[in-house]
Formats: sequence, C-alpha cells, structure tokens
Amino acid sequence: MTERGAEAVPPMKSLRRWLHADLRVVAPFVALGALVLLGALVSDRFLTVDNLVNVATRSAFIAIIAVGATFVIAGGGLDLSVGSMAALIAGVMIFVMNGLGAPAPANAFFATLSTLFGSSPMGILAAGILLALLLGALCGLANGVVTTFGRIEPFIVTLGTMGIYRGLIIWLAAGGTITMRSVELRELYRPVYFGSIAGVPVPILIFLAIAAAGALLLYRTPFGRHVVALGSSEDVARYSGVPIARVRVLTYVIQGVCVALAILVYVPRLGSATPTTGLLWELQAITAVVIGGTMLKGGTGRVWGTIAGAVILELVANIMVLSDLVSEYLVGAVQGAIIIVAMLVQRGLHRRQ
Amino acid sequence: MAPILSAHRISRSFGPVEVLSDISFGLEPGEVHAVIGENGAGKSTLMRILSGHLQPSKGALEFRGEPVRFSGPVEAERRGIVLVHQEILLAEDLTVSENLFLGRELRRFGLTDKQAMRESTRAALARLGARIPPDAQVRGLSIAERQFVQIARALLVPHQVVIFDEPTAVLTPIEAEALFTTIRRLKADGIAVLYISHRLAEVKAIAERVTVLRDGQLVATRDASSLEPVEMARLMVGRDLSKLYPDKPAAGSRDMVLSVTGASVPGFVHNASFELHRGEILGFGGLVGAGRTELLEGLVGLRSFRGEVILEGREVRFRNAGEALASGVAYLTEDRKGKGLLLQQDLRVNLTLAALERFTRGPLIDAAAEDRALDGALRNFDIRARRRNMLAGQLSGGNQQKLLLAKMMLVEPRIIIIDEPTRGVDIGTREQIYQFIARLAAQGRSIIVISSEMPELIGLCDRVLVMRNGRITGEVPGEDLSEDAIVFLATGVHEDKAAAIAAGVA
Amino acid sequence: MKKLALSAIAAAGVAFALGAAQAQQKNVTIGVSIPAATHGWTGGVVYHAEEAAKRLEKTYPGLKVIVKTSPSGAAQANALEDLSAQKIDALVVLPFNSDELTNPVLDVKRRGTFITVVDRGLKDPTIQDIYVAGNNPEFGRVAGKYFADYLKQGNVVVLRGIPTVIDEERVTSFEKALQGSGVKILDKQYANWTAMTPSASCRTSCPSTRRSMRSGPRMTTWRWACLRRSVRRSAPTSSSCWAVPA
Repeated sequence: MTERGAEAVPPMKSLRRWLHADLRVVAPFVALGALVLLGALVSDRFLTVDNLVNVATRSAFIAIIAVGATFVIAGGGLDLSVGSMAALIAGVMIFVMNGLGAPAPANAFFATLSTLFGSSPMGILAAGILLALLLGALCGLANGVVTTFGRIEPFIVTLGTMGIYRGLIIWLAAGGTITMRSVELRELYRPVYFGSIAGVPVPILIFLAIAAAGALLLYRTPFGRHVVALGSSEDVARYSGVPIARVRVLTYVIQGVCVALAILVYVPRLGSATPTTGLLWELQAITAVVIGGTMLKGGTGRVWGTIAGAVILELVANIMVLSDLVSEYLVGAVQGAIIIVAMLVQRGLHRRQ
Repeated sequence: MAPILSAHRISRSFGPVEVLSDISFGLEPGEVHAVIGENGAGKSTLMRILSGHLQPSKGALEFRGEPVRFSGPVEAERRGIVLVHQEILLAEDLTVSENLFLGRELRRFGLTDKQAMRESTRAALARLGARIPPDAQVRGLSIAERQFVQIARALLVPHQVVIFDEPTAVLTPIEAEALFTTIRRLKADGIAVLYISHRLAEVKAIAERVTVLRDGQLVATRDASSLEPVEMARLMVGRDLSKLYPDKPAAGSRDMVLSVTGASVPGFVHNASFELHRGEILGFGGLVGAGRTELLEGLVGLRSFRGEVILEGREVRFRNAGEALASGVAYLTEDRKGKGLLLQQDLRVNLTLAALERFTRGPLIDAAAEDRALDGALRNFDIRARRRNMLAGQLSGGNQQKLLLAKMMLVEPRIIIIDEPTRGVDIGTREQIYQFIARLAAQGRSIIVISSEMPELIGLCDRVLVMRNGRITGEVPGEDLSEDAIVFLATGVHEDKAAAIAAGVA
Repeated sequence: MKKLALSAIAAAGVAFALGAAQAQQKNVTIGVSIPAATHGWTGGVVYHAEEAAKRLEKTYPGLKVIVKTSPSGAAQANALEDLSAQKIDALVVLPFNSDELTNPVLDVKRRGTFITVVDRGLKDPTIQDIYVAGNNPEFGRVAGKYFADYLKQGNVVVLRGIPTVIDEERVTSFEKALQGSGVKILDKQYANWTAMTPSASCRTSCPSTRRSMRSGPRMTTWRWACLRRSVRRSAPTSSSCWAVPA
C-alpha cells in the first residue's frame, strides 16, 4: 500500500497544499481581477473611483440575495421565487408605509401598526423594515415547508411560488406601480442606498456585513455544517442524526430574509415596486452563486465566492456599457457565456483535483 | 496448455504512485483462476488492464501468444474478453431485456425486434439459473437479480475470457451456488474465467489456481487444491491470520439493556421481538432481504416502526436517528458510501457530523477540538489516510468503515448496531474491526451485528438471531453456532439441500 | 410631430451645455438616457436621438453626446449612474417610469448636473431644470370629447400606458371630458404601451368585454383592432386611452 499514516504537516507545507488544492476557491477572485484588468484596458473611464463604487453598490441587491441562495443551493435546494418575492416584499413594504403615512388609518391593521410604531417617519420606517423582514421570512418558510414536508422538488415548488408572489404584487399594484408617497420618508430613507460612511457607500457596507455573517454561519456553526452535509447527501445526513427537515426549511427562511434585506436597500433607490421589479433576479442570483464556485448539486457553499460572482455580473455589464466593443444589447449573451465558461473552468479544476 | 491471455511484467502508475508492479501471469482456457488480495492490492487495476479499460505503463499483454494492445474495452470485447463489473451498471427504468440489449439491439426491418430480444433474454437468464421475467423493470429487481442480469448481459457477446469482479458480494448462498454452476459450465466449454473475490472459502471451492497480490506485487500463484483459506489470508496480508476472530469472553453480566416486543416495519418486518444484554455481541443472520436491516433501521427511527421498545428500563420511541443517538443508540449503515459517509467532504467533516454539538464553543464550531478528535481517530482506529484533508471518498473501503466507526463512537453510544461491518473490507482490516467490536463489548457496551457472512456471525457473536421473510425464525445460542444451524433458520432447509436446490434450479 | 418633439429634446438639452461651451471654451458632455425601443414610438426616439447626437457633435466641436438606452426602470437607474461616472455636464432623460426614476435622477441632479426631463415626467417636478413634453392633458381631453360625441351612449374600457406623470394627465383629462356624457368608464388597466399586454388586459378587464370577445367573429375583429391600434396609436400624437364598445 502506498498510503501512509497521517503525520503532523508543517504549516508552510499545509499552506501551499491548501492553495494548491483549493484553486476552485480562488478562481472567482482571479476572474474578478482579470475583469478589472480588462475593464481598465478597454475604457479609461473604468478605473475611476466613481465607476467602481457604482458597480459595487448596484451589485448589492443580487449579492445579498445570492448569499441566501448560497445556503439554499449548498443544502441541495433551489429557489426560483426570489425575484417575485423581492417584488412582493418591496410592494408590501411601500404599501404599508404609505398606509401608515396616511392621515387616517384605512383599517384596523394600519390602526394597530400605528399605535405600535407611532406615526413619526422613523416609526413608519421601522414598521416597514420589520414587516419586510417578517414577510421575507414567511415567504421563505412557505417555500421551505412545502418543499420539505410536501416532498416536492424545490424547482417545482418555487416555480409555483414565483408565480404566486408575482401575481400578488401585480394584484396589489393593480398592474401599475406602488410608490412611496411621503417625500419626508423618502428623504429619511434615501441614505440607506445613496449615503456613505467614511467614503464607502452604505449598500456595500451592508452586503459585506451580510456576507460576513453568512460566511460565519455557513463555515463556523453546526447549522452551516449541517447544511453542507444535507446538500452532500440527504441520506448520510439523516443517518447521522442531522435534523434535516429543520435545516432545509431554515435555508429557505434565510433566503427569504436575505431577499428582504436586499429590498431594504432597493426601496430607497427606486422608491417603488412595479410588476417588473426583480424580474429574472433568481437567475442572476443563481448565476452569482455558481460563478462563485458553489456547485448547483449542493454540498459546497462559498459565500465570498458568491459575492465575487455578483460583482462579476455587474462588472461585465458595466464594461460593456463603457466600451464600444460589443453592443450593450448583448449584455445578457455575454453574461450567459460567462456562466458556461465558469462552469467549464470549475469542471476542469475539479478533474485536476 | 498455452495460456489464452497472459501478462508479461506489467506495471501501472498513477502519477508518481505505482499501484501495480511487474506482474506476470497466464490464464488458461478451461480454468478458473482466482485473484485475491486486500483492498488496494491492485486487483481492480489488473482487471481493468486485462479488460482494456486501462493501458499498462510498462510490460505487455499477449492474447493467444501474440502481443496485443487494447485501445479500450470495446476492442478487448471484440477479442472475446468480457468483464462483469462489481457495481451494478444498469438503467433502472428500462426492462430486463432492454438492458441486456442496450446499445446492441436486435433489429428487424430497421426497427428493434422486441420479441427476439425477449426470447434471447429468457434463454440467457435461464442458463444462469435465474427466473427473471424479461419485461420486468430493473428498478423492481433485487440486487441479486440485477447482478444476474448484468452477468447475462456480459455473456451475451461471444466470449473467450470472462472476468468476474466480486460477483457474489451481494448474492445469498443459494444464488451464489447458481452462479458457481454457471462458472463451471463456462469452464467446461473451455472458457477461461478470472475470478476476483474476498470470500476465500468460495475461492477454494471454485478455482483451479489462485494468484495473490499484495501492495501491487504478485506474491504467489498456486494451485487452489494445495492452498487452504488460512494460508491464502496469510499470503494476502503478509502475516499470520489464523486467528481472525478475537476470543469470546465468558458470558458476563446478563442485565437487559434493550428489549423489543412486537416490532413491525410495514412491508418488511412482522412482529419481531428480541432482547439485548449488557456487554453482549448479538448477531442477526439471514438472507439479503430478510428484513434485518429494516428492523434495526426502524428501531432507530429511520423507518416507520411499530412495537414496544424498552431501553434501560424506559419505554422509548425514536422518531429519527438524532433521537436515537441522543439516547445512546448508534446505527452504522451497511451502505457506507450512500448513507454512512459524505464522500465529497473531508475526513474532519465526516468524523464530527453526528456529534457536532460536542465540538462547539458558544455558537461556533471549535475547529481545534475537531482537529484533535481527528488526530485521535486516525490513531485509535488506525485510519490510513495519505493526507488529513483528503476526501472520505478517496479512502479504501476498510478505512471508510473505520472512519464510520470512529464517527459513530464520538457520540459515545451504549448500544452499537453495525450492519455488515466488513462488507467490502479487506481481511487485514477485518481483523482490526473484529478486535475493535470485541473491545467495545468488553467495555460493557452492547453490540448488534447484522451480517451475511456466516463465519463472521459464528466467530464474533455470543448468540445469533436469524430472520427469514420479515420474521425472526429462531435463535442460535453461542455453543450451538454453526453454518448449518443459521442456514436452516434462514432458508428453512439444511445446507446440503440448499446446494442441491440451486443445482436443480440451474 | 415626432421630429418636433425630438428637436425639442436636443435643443433643450443643449441649451445649457452649449451656453457653457461657448462661453468658457471647454469640452462639454451631455448624457442622454432613454428607454430602449420596445415599440414604434420609443424606436423613433432612439433613432432620432442618435441622429441628433451626431448632428450636434458635428456642429459644435468639443461637444460629446452619450446616448444610453435602457430596457427597464432599474436598468435606467444603472445607466444614470454610469453616465454620472463619465462626468456629464447635462442630462437629458426620458424616464422609463416616473416613480422609479425620481430618486436616481435626483441623485444625478445633486452632483450639479443640468437636468432636462422629456415626455414622461418625474414625481418631483422641482428636480428638472427644463421639462419638454406634449400637451398631455389636451390629448386626453380631445380623445374624451371624441368618444362622447361619437358614441353618445355606451361603456368604455381604458387601457392606459406605463404608470407615469403624462399617463396620469391624459387619463385624468380623458375622464373629465367624459363627465356628464352618456359614456361610462367600466375599468382602467395598465397596458404598459406594448402590443402584447393590451389584449391580455382587455380580456380580463370586464365581464361584458369578455363576453363580446368570446362571441365569435366580433372577438377576432375586436382583438385585431386592439393590436393594430396599439401599434399605430402608440405614437405620441395620440392619447394613451383606448375605448372599446361593450
């Protein structure tokens, strides 16, 4: 036998080994670097602080949602409903804030909320934020519970809820738009997207914080370990005493909360929800996750890779807008090609291992 | 007699690792030539070279005295060399005859000729002594039946050399006997048979010559008639293994730790009752599919289960494996790859998965504690891993089993249920596992061993319960343990009859 | 009319920038952000904006016009950021919709950019420095008067456009013009100025329409009429209101 007993490995050697073995972890960041280089070559306006900050800021929505998607996918699931869910949460949140801002409460629901949170803009905003988070958690819970206890493919379940959530927002908006009416509230809420702390835009800080929290949860807690185990093999997880139903449902709840968090950053930007809000976000989120090195079949989760993936998607669009090499109408085509190339590279690295 | 297929000093390396070095041997027409060796000794690699799946790095093959170089399995098959894989490679949703002719469908007027294929399938399976309807879906077949379909598929092409890779691993004694009849017929037809197996008694019974591999080297080629199983084991492992099983201690305390009354698992087990004592090794014997696995999986909450379970004087009902583990009852599955270990994860993740709450500091996992546990496990269970961060799937079968044991022992169970503890495990590791089980019992833990290996039950267990068709048909106490007693309870007929029935079936 | 409107875009946008260019002899950049061509009228806008950009760049050396089209409100918000990053001095914007683009345009405004809003307005009119648009209330009034005169008596369904300021203006004055006449509005639905949505919306808008659509040849005629009109009449010259006899 050529196998030897494992000895203590000196740290230097183990570091080199780690670097070598986990090319897949580094790959998305290498790609990110390469894209930045490419961008600098193609356009002199690319490497300006303004531009790079813009790109990072606007990738916040997809990045935050994709952190949640990393959990779902690492756990062997899939959530197609995030785009519709985002629209619904945005719509309900604005709807409620408008209702609370109205001179007289329209019904008992708003009256109760009013007494709870007061009618100051701050109180209204707090009510809206809490409600958005709660609704996100509930939407995720619905996905998780139906998938887990109904024993239906997550693809089908979330395809269904995708339609349901989208239908609800169209109905709520009567086919039009739900817009934040109070100018005062708009001004109060504005800094959450447009503001910055120490020169760093708030959305970037928020998505970095969420990613850090997600990484901690996934890599360092028993729950995260259970998610990965569940995604690797449901049977093994079950035979090892992992509470698989709870873990699976929780991944969807985390996804829902992440969507809500993304919406908290989204609403101050556009101030309204329309039937097309969040359209195709599910695909962008899944793409970000996959580019980030998480495998679609589950069993791995790379939170920071996902963040890199989300930024890559926006970078590609930005580079194409800034350069005149390719028509910007082809952004979708280029992003699609990138997914495929990313997968091919991943597969290649996997084989080499 | 001139060999039909021979190897001349062949070696094979994967990267810097040489897994096979300087092997020479010949396979004669009309002989059954067994190749034995521990897991990782190089049997599979040799097999794959002979059947064209791999090319040797050095050396050459000769077919009918002429040097050949197979570019792939198709070319080897064209020359009449067929390999019956160990893994079942069938399309589950297709029927038996569709599987048999998959990729080589019989045609009539350009369309598939279903009738002809059905007839040939029926005939081919009948020759093997299996009665499987050609139109049955493979999904609905037992593992043993699938194995027969796979053999029939391999034998469908004209063949001169047939290579069997552990064909009896999933067969019951009767089915194995039917397979041996087939092999004897092949032999009589002048076909050369290369036979790989872990079951040394079986090798002794069927083979003319035996080649032993160890660490990629050929240790010996001997006539089977002059080689006893104990000697085979010694050649394979390189040390004396005449004492494979540990001594059975005198029956110790008889405190009852577990009593199961009227247990049923819908569709598998009816009204089973048994008791387990402290420090006891209780065996569960029976044919594959008798309901042993299902009964004990039901007990630990992995299947729906009815019946009364009293654990250390308290009635319990486990709804899932987590609850069972929390109560000190661990179940080690027979399906290590599918249900026991996360093959795509590293050793550490696998080791601590079932006992993760013991490795936390506050809400976070304590990675240092995990590493210490891994060090301990590698040492105490003698898990041979090239690297600490290798994946569980890269371990050999024996080391996987040790890892699974180490994983489940981290929850410090008082009752340990081990399903097929040595399936796919080489003989050297087997001895270690037996020693380990005996040590657990000596510590006052209670062990249940489910096994299809008769010698294992006899050598290891204090008493054996035998199941047949979902019922416990009897108990064989320690002093009466014999293969015949177990076979009788498992099949309803005595051993010699079983062989006769198998012959009659064929 | 089309040309008139577009010349207006160009003229309005350039007014500020050119003044600056000529006075200070420096290079000036104008960003133009418009919806992508999803139907005939926006197609015209894109074509003429690009033509106007070329012509202006030729006429005034040192002037640079960047035209960006966007397929959705969110995409237009991105485009506005990208334009800002390119240090534009003036922005000509035809907002995809009024609600979503108000904040992003305000953000551009706060960087000191001169803002010209065209056609579909913003929620907050104080953002714009110049507003160029048709007489939208009059479009609605004329259409309403036509229906009142032509039908005298009857029910109509309004398939309005994208929720925007101008849509609101047209519909409001359309409704006002119908007041007191025998023509009643059964329902109003957003049809988003596309050819596909109106037919779907029409079908669900009211029970009587649904019945008439189901009843044989009339339905075909009606739907064709609807589609034809949606293509032909989505030009800025017409109102955004359709009326369908029940």
